[in-house]
Amino acid sequence: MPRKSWRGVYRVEKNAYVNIPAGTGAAEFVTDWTPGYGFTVESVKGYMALVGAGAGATRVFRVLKGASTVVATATLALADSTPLGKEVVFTVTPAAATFGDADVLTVDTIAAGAVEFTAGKFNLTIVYRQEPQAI
Amino acid sequence: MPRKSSFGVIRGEKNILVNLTAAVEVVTDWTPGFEFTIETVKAYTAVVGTGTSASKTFRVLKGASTVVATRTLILAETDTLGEEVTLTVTAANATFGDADMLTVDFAAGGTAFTAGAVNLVIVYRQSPQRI
Repeated sequence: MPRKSWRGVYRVEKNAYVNIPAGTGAAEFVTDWTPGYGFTVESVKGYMALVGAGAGATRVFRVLKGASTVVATATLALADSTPLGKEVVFTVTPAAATFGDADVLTVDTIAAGAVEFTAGKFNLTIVYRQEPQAI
Repeated sequence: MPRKSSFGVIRGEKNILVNLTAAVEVVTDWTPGFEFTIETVKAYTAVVGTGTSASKTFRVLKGASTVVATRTLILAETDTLGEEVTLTVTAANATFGDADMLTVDFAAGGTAFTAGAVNLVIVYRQSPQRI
C-alpha cells in the first residue's frame, strides 16, 4: 500500500453519478472530459444508489481513454446491483491507465451483450494519482 | 484558511449523490487504499425533500461503527435546492489508514423522507505519497 513521501504523488477522485438507461443501447455518462493534466487511474468502483431491476439484466460499463482505449470495465448483473451501497469493482488495465495532458476520459455502457435494466443508479468513484505539477 | 506550502498537503473531494429515501447504506465499505484525513462533510440539496416531519440521521463511518461525521437532517433543511447542511466531523476519528473502509449510511430510526436527494461533498487532505 502507498506510503508517505516528501515529494511523492497525490491521490484524488473523480466521481460521477450513473443513471443506468432503459433499453439496451450504448450510452455515455461522461463524454470526453479533458482534464488538461497528467494522471494515472488506480481504481474504479461503483456503489449502488438505486437498486437495479429488470429480469436477467446485465450491462457492461467502461472508462475509456480517447475513443476506444478501455481503462476499466465491469459487467453489472442484476444480482450485483442490490442492496443499496453495494460495491462493484471495475477491472483496471494499468497499461492503459495513464492519461496525458490532451487525453479525454469517457464513461459509457455498450450495447453488446446488454439485457435491459429497468431501474438502477450508482455512484462511480475513480481514484487516480498525479505527480506534483506546475501551474 | 489554509496557506500555500511548497511540499504541503493536497485536498481532494469525494462527491456522492445520496437519495434521502435510501433505507440504510448508500456507500458500503469503500476502501480507498491510501491515507487521508477528512476535514469537512457538507450536503447540498439536489432534490427537495418531502415527507411529514421527515428526519434522518446521516453518517460517514470508518469501519463498521466509528462515526467520522454525522448530522440529523430534517425536512426544513432540504426545502430549497442548493441548501447547505454541515455535518459535524469528529477530528479524532477522521484519519483513514490504508486499509480503513468508508461507509455512508442513515442510522436506524427517524422519520422517512418520501423524496429528496443531496450532493454530499467530503473534503479530505493527504500528504504526498509514494506510488
